[in-house]
Amino acid sequence: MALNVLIVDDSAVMRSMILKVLKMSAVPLAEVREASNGQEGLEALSEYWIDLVIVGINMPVMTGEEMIDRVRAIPEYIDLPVIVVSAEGSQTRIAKLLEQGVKFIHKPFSPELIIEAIKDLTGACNEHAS
Amino acid sequence: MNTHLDTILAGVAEKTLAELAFIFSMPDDAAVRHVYSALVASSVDFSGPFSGSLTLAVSANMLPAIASNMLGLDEGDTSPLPDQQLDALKELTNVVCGNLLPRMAGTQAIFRIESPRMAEPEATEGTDGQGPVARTRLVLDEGRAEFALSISGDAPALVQDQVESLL
Repeated sequence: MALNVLIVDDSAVMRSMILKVLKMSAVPLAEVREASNGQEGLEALSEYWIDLVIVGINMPVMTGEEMIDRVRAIPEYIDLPVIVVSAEGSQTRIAKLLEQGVKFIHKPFSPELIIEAIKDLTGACNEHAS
Repeated sequence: MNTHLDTILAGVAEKTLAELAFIFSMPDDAAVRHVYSALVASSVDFSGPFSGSLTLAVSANMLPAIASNMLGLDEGDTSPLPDQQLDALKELTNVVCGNLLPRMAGTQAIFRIESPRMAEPEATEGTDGQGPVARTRLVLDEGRAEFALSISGDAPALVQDQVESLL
């Protein structure tokens, strides 16, 4: 199944880096949409079908934490695969995110970590895993 | 200036530059330090157990390479746009800050890190009349990068306690 992916980060460069990783990987992609903060991310989620969200934490307008809280409050998105990519170093904060069922990837990251996380969460690109 | 903090800042800065931008630094050498003069800077403010800002000033001529490396551009690709170059600098600053704070305050501490912003290169000299509590200068292949950590209030005592517990 080709994935509809939403990348949410206030850094356009970081969004481009993640997009590059996705394109380099064996992950089958449908549409990739971008948002620059949690509020825009929520709007994209309400407008489009999304299979996977890759989101940062520290963003203006609405943080990634708040966006995830709101996403998880929507019944149809309780199990939506979410990967958090952040330089956040607080284990307290990370533990709270993990309780929401997300994968956490620390910056700086290797492309393999993101691909592994996508595979774990969605089962995508399993056929290319060997 | 705190030597322990300088060492921690240098380690985090070197590692982040290498892993995020594939830019490798060399030991500081006063003989080449002043060859590259034009700097572009960004700062990121944080608050939590202590508050302050981290500033990164880098030689302007390094920005295209930093952005190209972060974006994974190949030779022959279009050069990164000016906005992308500045965004890459801000992202580097953000990641260094995010990795530095837990090294200083421990991994249980929670900080609020604001969005990085462009700054004057002089911000590496400190803010609000106070000098930075930590500073490091890395010599790069074709330029230099200067990192400075400024902390407001009475935080340096807290920082010192945390650093000693790490050593």
